Amino acid sequence: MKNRLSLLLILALFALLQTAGYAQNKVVKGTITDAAGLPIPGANVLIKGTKQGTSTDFDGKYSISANSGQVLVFSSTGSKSVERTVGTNSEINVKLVEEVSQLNEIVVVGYGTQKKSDVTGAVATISSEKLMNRPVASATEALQGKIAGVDVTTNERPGSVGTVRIRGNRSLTASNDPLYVVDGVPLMSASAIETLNPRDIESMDILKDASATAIYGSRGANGVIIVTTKQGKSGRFTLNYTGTVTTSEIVDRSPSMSAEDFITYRRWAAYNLDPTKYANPATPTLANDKLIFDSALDGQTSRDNVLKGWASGTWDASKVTNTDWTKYVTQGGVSTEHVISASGGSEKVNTYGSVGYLDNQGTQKGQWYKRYTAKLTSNITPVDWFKMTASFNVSWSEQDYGMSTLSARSGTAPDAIYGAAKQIYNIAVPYDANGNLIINPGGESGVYTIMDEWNKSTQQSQTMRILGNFTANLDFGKMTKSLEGLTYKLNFGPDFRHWREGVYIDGTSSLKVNSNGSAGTNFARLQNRRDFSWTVDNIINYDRTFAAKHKVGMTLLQTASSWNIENSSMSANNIPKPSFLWNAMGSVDATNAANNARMSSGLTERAISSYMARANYGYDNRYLLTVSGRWDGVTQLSEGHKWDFFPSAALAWRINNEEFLKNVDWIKNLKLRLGFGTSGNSSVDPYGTLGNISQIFLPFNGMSNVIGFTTNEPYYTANQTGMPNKNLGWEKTTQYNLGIDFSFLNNRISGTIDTYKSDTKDLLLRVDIPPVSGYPYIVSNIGETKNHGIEATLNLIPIQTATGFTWETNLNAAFQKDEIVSLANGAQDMVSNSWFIGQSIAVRYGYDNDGLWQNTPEDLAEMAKWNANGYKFTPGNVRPKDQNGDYKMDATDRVVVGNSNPRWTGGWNNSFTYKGFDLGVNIIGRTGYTASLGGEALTAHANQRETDYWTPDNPDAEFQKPILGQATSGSADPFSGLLGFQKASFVKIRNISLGYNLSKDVANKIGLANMKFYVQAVNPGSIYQSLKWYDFDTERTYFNRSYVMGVEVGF
Amino acid sequence: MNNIKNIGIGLLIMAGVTFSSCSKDFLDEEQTNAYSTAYFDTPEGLEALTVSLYGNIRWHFGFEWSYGTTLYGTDEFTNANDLTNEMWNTYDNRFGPVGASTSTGAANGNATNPNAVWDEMYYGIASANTIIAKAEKVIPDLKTRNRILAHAYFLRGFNYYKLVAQYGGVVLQTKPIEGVVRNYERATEEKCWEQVIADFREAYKLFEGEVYTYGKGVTWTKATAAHFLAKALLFRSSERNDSWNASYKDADLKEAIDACSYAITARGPLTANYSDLYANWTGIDCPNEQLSEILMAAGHNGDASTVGRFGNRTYNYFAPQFSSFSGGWVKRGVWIGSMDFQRCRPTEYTYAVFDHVNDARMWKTFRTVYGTNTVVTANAGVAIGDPAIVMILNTKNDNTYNGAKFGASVQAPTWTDAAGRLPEWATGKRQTATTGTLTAKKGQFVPNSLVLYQNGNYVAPTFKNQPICNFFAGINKTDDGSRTAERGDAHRDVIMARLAETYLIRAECYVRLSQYGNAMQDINVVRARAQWKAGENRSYYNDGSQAFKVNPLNTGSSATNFTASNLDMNTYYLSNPTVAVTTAASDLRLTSFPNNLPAEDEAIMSKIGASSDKERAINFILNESTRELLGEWQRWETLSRTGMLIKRAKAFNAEAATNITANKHELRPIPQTFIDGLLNDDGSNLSPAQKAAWQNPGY
Repeated sequence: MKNRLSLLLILALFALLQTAGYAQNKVVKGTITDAAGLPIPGANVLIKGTKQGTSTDFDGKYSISANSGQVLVFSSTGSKSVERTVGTNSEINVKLVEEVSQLNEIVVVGYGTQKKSDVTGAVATISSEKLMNRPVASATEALQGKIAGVDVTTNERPGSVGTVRIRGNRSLTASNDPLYVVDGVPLMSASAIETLNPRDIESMDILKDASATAIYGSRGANGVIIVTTKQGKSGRFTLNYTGTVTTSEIVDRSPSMSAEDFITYRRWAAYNLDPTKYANPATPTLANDKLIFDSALDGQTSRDNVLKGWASGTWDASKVTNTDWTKYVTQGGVSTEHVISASGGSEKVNTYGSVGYLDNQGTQKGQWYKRYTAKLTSNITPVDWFKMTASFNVSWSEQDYGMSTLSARSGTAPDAIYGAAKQIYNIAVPYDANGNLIINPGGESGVYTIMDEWNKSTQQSQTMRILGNFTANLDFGKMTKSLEGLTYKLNFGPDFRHWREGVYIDGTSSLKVNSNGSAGTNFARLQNRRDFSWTVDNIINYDRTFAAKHKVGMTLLQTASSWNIENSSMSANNIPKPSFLWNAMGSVDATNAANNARMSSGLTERAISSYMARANYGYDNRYLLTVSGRWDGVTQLSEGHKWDFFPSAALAWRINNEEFLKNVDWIKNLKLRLGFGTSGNSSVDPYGTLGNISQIFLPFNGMSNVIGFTTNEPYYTANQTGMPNKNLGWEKTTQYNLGIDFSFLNNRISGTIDTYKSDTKDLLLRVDIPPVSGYPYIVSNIGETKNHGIEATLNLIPIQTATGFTWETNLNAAFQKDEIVSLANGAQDMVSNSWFIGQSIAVRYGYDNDGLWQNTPEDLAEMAKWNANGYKFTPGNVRPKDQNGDYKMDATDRVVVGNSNPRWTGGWNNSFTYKGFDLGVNIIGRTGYTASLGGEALTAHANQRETDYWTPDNPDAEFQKPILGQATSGSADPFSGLLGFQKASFVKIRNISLGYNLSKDVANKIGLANMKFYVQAVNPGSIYQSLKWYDFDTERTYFNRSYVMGVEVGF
Repeated sequence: MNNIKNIGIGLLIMAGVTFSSCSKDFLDEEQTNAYSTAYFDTPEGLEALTVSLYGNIRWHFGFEWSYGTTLYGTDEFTNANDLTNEMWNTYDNRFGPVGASTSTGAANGNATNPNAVWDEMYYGIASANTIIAKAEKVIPDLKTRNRILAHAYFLRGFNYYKLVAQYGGVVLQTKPIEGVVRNYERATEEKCWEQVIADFREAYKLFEGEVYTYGKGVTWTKATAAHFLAKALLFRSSERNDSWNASYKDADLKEAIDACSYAITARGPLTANYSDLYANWTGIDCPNEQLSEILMAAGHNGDASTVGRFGNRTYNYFAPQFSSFSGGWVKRGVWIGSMDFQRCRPTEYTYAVFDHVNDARMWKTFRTVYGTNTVVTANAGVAIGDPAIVMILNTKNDNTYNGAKFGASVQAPTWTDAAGRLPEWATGKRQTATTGTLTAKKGQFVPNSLVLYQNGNYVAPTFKNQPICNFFAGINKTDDGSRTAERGDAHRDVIMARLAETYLIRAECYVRLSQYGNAMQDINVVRARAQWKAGENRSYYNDGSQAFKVNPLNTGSSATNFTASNLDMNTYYLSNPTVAVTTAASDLRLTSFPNNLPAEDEAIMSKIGASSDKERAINFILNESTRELLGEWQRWETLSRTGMLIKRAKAFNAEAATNITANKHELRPIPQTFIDGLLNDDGSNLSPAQKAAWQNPGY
């Protein structure tokens, strides 16, 4: 076979020789290899200045006739081309190394690509290696801390993703989520990119400024994340395997009080309630403890446990059994990941395929996530002027939410089993003396046992996602010279998603069980949702350079997308058999009201149609201009408001190409960018302008239900319909961006600094209106916000030694400040929405505090003045901040306590390499915001984390003095909630990774192309948290710490 | 090469075609699976909107505002240890226009915001405005149109009544609003009452008569409109409006009497047995929900589609916290018709206002015994099904229990039924409405027991296992044994108006016209029904828990718990220790009025210093209202109307007494959310002075 091919090649060469018509006097042969020394098949060899050339065979070998003195150009996709002059030697072996120069990096700018050097907007690119330097379940998670101005929050529930904000928030009530574009298809379904296997991602390009996002028109205002998936590379066949095993555990920065601490704490609470009735905690008494630890609801099991401390007659806390309830619900979560990918092909046909499996077991019992992904992409170029691509990204995922919180007993139920376990006292015991399960351990009526709860309720969803992408490319330039640079591309991207969620809550679950331990009514629910959307693009591209200096580019686009959702839901009580789960709804008698059988279904459709034109002009590689305009029309808006226009313009000056810098060696790149653009926020719900009314069922006596219709009836639904607004249009953000890209000292120092100012007008504002109209709100284009910020990315190679030791570091930081400029009626605050002109768009608003009242003469005098107004302050209570000095807390004392969006976000990524070893450290942080944690009620009738509370001996405590009270009655200190506003900031080590690459020789010896082992620690700890008992990253007191072992093998 | 060119050009043309092929209707929006407001321009649509008004009134019983805005802070009820809506009872500094949240001192996130009732009333008014504006054009059939209009006028009148009763002068909007309106004017109370009365008059005129289009009990009829017309007229004539109502009084009271008379004639005699109104609730949509006496009720049934967000939550609010204080002897569950959320604790007045011996309403309303469903201490002499909680509602001068030790389980009570005054509870020998004996077993120990008075002191609040008393005899008007789970919502209708109240309204009108004889006659109709009938077993007690008998959950351990927890008996003979067992009729009718009133009323008169005939007569009617209508969701409004709120709350509600302030708390604060949303005509925000003008005095 090989020989035959060679024969053909030789024949072809002869043919070429024939036509070329001049004598060749030498045959040059050789092998082209890659950096690893592996042969590159299909690489091109061209004699410079001629059309003569050949390509390498499967062994990377070539043979060409050339004259001495002629120059051979060796090239291969993705590699730097190499030129060699033919000399006396008839064998020229060439090593082609991958294109690493940043300037020639290709950036996906939307509806086309550009060389990085030609980009005029604020666009950040991140490659797969940077993205996947730690194993993550989703690509968004991987973005965390990598790009200045892209803030990704943490969600540790397996299968759930955090939120992504690009350059902060600008909308008050509309969505601030970015637009995702995968291989050219803007995603519209309920799933974004979390269904993609992150290892199938080749690169992500984040369009940050409006001059870049304006080409996405009405969907671009929140930034655009463009995902390019891996494609087959011609000429190289690779087979790769990646596997990781991750073990995770929960780390709690503030565990529950131990039994001993809790006992002291409740004694304090009782004493603070009534010092005449209850003993001072310094001198506890048995009689007192009998009273305050009375726990009828758990059969006195927790009281009796406490009283064990009195067995000897004097108090001995060590006799009390301490039960850490969280240990029952946590597990060492083991996650495994396997990905096999293969790619390869020729210039004509190439393919990439991968199969991935992710099994993510949560650290809390009952939570898990499994994902199966498959990807197949083929590019076929049957003739040189036509190329076709077909691509599928298929994923199947299953998520178990663990303990369900549906129909939880009260609004304060924790969202997961760990939180439920933390509600139970350490003095409580799980089983009584007879071994029976205690339903309300600790004796609080709202607190239920969590034993086996993970087996008693489940909430499981399955998501099937097929993202397709089919494109046809016509290159007119390949047909006729006169049309050189003109291409046409037809792109079709269907996106199918099916989501199914099943919930089953057994009658024995703590959510349903009767207080005597007998099973209550079970519940099952089945929900289905099918999203189908498609996008068709017609793109005409023209790129040509005239007279060597004038580089002209033009993109014309017509595109249309349509989206259709069908959903249905059914639920019932009294499923006959637990094993039926949600799979036998028909087994329930739907006509029996006790079974509470319900069903519903819905259909939502929307569509968008657009035209876009973009022109690029570059002069002499020094001055670059991009101008674009997009027209968008959508179904959701009324006639007359359907269409809108979104323009942009940007200029760039490549200073380093100017004469005066051309010879400055240490400046590799210096580019100044100035851009402006307008983009929109399209989050107008379908049918929002139609004036929908809702149907309700009315019960009457002696007859069946009657159906009523009404615009709004809050008795039936919490989500009210707003007043329909026929005049609704887009929310528009206009942004100016000034940026500089630089690269000095042979790339040892490079980076980007961008500063921007944006102005968002015609906000899609959900404005509360007086309900006299029958509507509680209206969505209008009203009000204005602004936002400015600065982003800096610095890539440094501080150390690069001859011995091979390299330290590369990436530091990125972003500052942004948002502000409300005007609201529904000009420069006037809207207090009922907590919106204030000149303040941040999301503020914490309410009473401020002045710490705690102390037992000092000054404080006592002050308290007396308050208490004259009906307050009951005593030392140790929270002291509210009286803004107007009238010794009353009322509406006039409300102030803006802080902003809830972080001002500063950033990341610091380091990589140290030495020989085969590499060590990576990623750090993320946020600062400059205020969290609302709700304060501590300190009733001592709800379980308490270890808390620094006030006692006469501990006056500088963080929290007020505890006062005994029923948990449902809330804190006996009326202002305890004010201590919940906390200044937030943190710097957290996201991961530390240590890898070892087997040397080529060793790898080859065992039959492999390459092999890498690594171990990582994910979330080893925080460098700084503004509260020592809280993790502002997870927004809980606890987080998952993981250890990873991984291997990457190339065959 | 030419071929290629041609293909290329062909493709280019195709592309161009695709460019323009996006058809025009691609961007048309059509929703195929929902109705829009255009539906209200059809007869069916407008009728459907009318029916929805019955959904609007259900709001009142959906959540904590049900009792917060009507029962708290009055003479009848105070808070127990649950402090969710404490500020509505205590009028403390958390009670104000903003509404309390956890960050401003509320116990939890469920505290009622003043906008809860306000906003909801306007939703109903907006629907009514639409109906009234469209009916003429949309509904050709006169009979249907009148019925629909009658409903719309009634609901609008009712909602404005509620608003004005709670907030004083409000925004009067009687036409549908197009577009965003933010500049409203606050109407005077006088204008508001004019609107309320005009709407009720219109409804009274348009209702055909007693036609139960939507079933009996729930449908509004001419009598419903008559009742509320009278109530509105009486409100306008009452003390709260004394500064401006002089010119209306005479005509209003006469018109009110006529309206009452229509309702009384149209609906016939009162239900014979008071228990049939509340206690004898046997299940969803049972015949007792369709009594002629019921003029208005918020409908409920067991059908999931009608439940809405809240169902009927009122079953939670009246029971003492038995699951806590009982020390585990009484576990709560579907087998007991109420959850023990202990929101509404009766005051001393509420027990004392009854004639404990002769007024059957007391014993048909208060639940005084719970049975043991769990044995906590094996050797206590208490078995499953024995009394676990016994509440002795004695009177101030009773000294029988002076030496006994009562209390919640944790307080280690030692009282036993030494005299054998507990009724027989053994299964098979239990009390019925007409049969039953006292127990043969003397000296029964009860793990939880309370008494109202010892040594002449009101000791009831000392029985508890929480900082604030959570052990008290609660009322049974909302108990519901049809729930599908312990926390499942209730399914019984909530009565919003009934004919006994019509009698009391007419009586009060007569009083205000100084026709005391006529007034006494009406009062005696109500009191005669409240007497013990001959043959009635005074020890018999039941409540809506009994619906559990037909509940599908009545099997297994739940069935056992039901029988063990509900003992069908009360503490009548323990509470009246000197009364011999009898089944004779009692006589509760007044013989003179407003002088020489029954002892319990005279005690109250002297406590609040009522001396003139009118004061005595009105206070007597307020007392009678407590006895007849206790817990029926309007006490606060009644007291505010008669100018007795401050006086009675100070006298009888210890928790409210400290903070309740005259010339302030007779009206609720206007919701801050509403004021904050207002703008002037020119779009500017209200100045602080303007905002202050919107707010009620003192807030």
